[in-house]
Amino acid sequence: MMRQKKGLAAALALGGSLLLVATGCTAAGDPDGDGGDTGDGVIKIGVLATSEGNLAFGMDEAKAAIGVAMEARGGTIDGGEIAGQQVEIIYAGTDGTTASAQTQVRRLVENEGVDIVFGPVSGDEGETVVQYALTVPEVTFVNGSASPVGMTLEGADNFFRFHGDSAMWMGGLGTYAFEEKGYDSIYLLAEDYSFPYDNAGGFFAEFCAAGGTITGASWVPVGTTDYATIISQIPAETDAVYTGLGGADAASFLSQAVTNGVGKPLVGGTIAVDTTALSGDANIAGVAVGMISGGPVPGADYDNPVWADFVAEYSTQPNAFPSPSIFSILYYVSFESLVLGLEATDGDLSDEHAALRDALGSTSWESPTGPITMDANRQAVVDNFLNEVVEAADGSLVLNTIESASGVAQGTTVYDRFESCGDL
Amino acid sequence: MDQILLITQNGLTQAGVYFLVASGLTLIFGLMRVITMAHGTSYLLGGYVGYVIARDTGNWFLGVLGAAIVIGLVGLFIHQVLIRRFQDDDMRVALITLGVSLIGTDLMLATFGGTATQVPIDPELQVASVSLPVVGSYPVLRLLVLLIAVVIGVTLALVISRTRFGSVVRAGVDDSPMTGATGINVRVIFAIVFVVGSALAAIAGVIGGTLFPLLPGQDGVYLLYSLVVVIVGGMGSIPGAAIGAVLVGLVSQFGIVYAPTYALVLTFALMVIVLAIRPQGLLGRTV
Amino acid sequence: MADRSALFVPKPTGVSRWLPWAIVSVVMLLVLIFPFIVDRPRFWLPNIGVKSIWLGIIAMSLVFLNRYVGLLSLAQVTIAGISAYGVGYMVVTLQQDFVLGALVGIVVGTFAAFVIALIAARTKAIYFLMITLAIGQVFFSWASQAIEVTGASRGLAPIRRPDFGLIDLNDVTTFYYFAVAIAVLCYLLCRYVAGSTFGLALEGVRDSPERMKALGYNVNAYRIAATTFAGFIASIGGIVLVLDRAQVDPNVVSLGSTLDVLVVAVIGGIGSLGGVFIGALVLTLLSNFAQSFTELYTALTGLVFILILLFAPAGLAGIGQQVKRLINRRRRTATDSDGSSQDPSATQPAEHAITEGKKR
Repeated sequence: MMRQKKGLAAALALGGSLLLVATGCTAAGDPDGDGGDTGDGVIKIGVLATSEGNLAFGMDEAKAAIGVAMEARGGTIDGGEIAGQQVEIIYAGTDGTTASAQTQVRRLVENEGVDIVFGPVSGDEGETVVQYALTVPEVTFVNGSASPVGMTLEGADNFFRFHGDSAMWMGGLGTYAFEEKGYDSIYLLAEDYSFPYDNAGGFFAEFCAAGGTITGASWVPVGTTDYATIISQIPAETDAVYTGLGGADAASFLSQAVTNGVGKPLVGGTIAVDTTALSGDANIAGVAVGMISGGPVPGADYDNPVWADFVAEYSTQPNAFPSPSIFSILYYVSFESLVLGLEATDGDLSDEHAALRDALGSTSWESPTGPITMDANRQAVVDNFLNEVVEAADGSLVLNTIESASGVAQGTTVYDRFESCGDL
Repeated sequence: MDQILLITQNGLTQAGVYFLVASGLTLIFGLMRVITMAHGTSYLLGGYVGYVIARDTGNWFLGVLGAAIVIGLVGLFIHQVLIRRFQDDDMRVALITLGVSLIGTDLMLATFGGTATQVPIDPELQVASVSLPVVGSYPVLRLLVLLIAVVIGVTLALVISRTRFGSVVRAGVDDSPMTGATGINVRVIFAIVFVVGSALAAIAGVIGGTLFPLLPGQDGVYLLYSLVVVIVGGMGSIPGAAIGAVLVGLVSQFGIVYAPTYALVLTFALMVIVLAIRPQGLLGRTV
Repeated sequence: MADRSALFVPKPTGVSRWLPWAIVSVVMLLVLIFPFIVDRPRFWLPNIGVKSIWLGIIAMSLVFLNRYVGLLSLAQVTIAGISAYGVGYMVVTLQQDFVLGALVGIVVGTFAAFVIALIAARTKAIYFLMITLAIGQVFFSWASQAIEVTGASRGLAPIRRPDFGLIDLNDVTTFYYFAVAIAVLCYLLCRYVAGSTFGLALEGVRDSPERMKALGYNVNAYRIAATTFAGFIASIGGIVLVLDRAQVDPNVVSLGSTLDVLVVAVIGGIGSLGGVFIGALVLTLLSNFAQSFTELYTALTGLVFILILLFAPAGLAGIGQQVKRLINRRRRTATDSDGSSQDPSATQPAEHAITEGKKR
């Protein structure tokens, strides 16, 4: 027992000294540590983005987006002057999990004392951040790219989202699939978690309302890599297959759809095909060409001067992709909306940001992806893009915009697993 | 009926990949009585190396060979530098190799990025299919994977049961000081087995990376699957790993059709059931 | 303290008698005045203080099992998570009171530990490691899918901290002291159990199960009981966790969280019940501040982990302990014939604890 006490003593001694060292040398920040202070004349914006894990490039994309907005005003990604007020931008990286989002958002607010939190990237993180936002009403939150429907329905008066939610990202596609493509019946294949629920829900709510039917559903666990058996389950009498998969699962499905032969046209969820997947090494042309999908990212042939300006500015940023990803687009649109709000109110953060929040709540501007206005839940009303995969002259695959649906507004349904039109 | 046969066939081909990964793990455990938690890292890194070689040379088989050699060398390094000193301390080896896998995960993410890639293979082979009795048209690629797994499995089993090297390995398992006393250098044997085990994971990585995507996280997934396979089959037994792989493959394929929500849970539940009935695994020696 | 084994320890004299107590007192004092010496209590108390405490409590249950039973369990995070889900289900889904939820959480978590023990305790140490890892993943994949019970990836939220009138856990300082008190109680309980007849029998089971069997002990029952007790401690850690995070989702029981707790235990010293809190503090500080100097945070953690296993298997706590041992060796040489040499693990407890697996 003696030796245990010594172990404890030594442990505690080391722990204590570590703490002293740590507390003694913390970065200088907000001295009262309660966030939301306005006295020092500097507006602090804390940015949450993914810097580790599968979405590690999220941070670079966030910085590129902020760089475009700040450089247009003579600033840098670390800050500058907006409406005569000094702005400081602090970055906090997460690994895309709720735990790290929680750690980092608290660090930004409670240690760095930021006035405004901007982010996060993933949906799970987003739901966590909204829950946290409810507990710190003095801080204003602007969403980054998190898209769960429920986030703006939680009643957080200090939380704003300037882009569409997962269901809105399918706006217009259901009608298009039924009327233009002539698909009367679609088989539903999607990953079994909240993003595909909302994403597929948005599509099928519209598709079913137009008169279409669902011929069956496979909700597969995230991380399913072998789709051979699932492909064999697709009934012969279906017109198309809805592919609500993302990332590796989507890549897996597409390449195995080639190997095993699907023989049906595909309708993609928002993250089923993107530029990266199309330019990859996997041989997916056989099934991908003709696949339609919906989302906030316009296709390669999208013709809009505001968009062209944004793409040109984006490409000068460090670590920029050949074309902006969904993350840089959403982060840019959101950050620019925030900056416009700050400019409209001369950076006045008094009275719990009352003026700023009024301005943000009535945002209205012409963004690179179309006009943005706000609804009563501090959720944007936006344009949505319907894209199709086509084979370019040189044999490469590109995403072209077939149509854009304007004025897509949020519904109030948070979707769940469903098997047929009747469930919706 | 066709349906059930088709699912069975898919389960068997998937089992081929599981078996290839798990065979390396069970081989190492069989001789050295240690578990390497970096086995999933060997799988994923092998897949990436094979991807780079196959992409640049256009030759898939060169990719398999290159991955086996590179990961074999990495295995040699891990064995000689990190775990040789602790050969008799299985817990510490498990923990050290777990540390290796933490580092590997981070470095692979930094090198190969977070998006999915797949090992390129002749496009004609990718779409080719043959007509099987009852099941009907079936992709050649998947049959090829099954064939490779069977060939490697049979070879391993024969080498261990029929050759002089195999008898030394078996002797080393039963009594390594005694085997050492007979003039056989057990250390060299241990090193060879560790290298072969790592190389098998790398080969599995290239083959698995041809059928399925390679991306961060797959290292953990395949480590877990190979653990489940060897626990079910019995640690240290090559035939056991084959049986374990087939069971896991079948359960996951049938699970995804008849209980998709709980397909993953069912796979792990299989392990729990086997353990409850036979703690040493189906073909394992008594614990 | 009712400490049987203290009987065997020779009365320490001079410095070695008061120094440990002096250090304990100083550190406890530091822990107690912590809220007043940090510049931003609202950040430091929950994010560093309380988080280190629940990580430490869960890691302590792992260390207890490893040290006194020779089993390395990777399911302790899962048990804590089950307890947290128990709270979440009671509070969020059934709209019950938090205290009732916490009781249910602890009962469910402890029961889960009992079931895991039934499945895994018959096996050898290395099997136990793999099986608990796999069981943890079963629960993770179930929690990620079972939307009716666990809310799948959305999880269960919000779980608000209760206000007991006199003790309002919404106040960060109160919450911090509450967590400290729980941690101290857990530590004392582990120590008490380890020092009891039961604890001594456990060490016997760990060191020579065959002999214990021959003496008529039911070796399996002892292992199951110890695993269940460790599960109880981990469940309490889960309650503090859920109080801190205010929600529960599959991330709580993911492979990453499992590895976090293992890293905490190894860094702190896998044979030291108190050392886990240093490990927890180190990891918490790293996860909050490491990204300002490195992007390869996980690789760094892995490197430290390996270096500790290679060169200082007793962890950070062990380094201090080694210094203490040097001081005491001089003083004890004359009298130390029947004392701490009773226990073979006295010289290098962590070394012993890790190597344990090979013995059975």
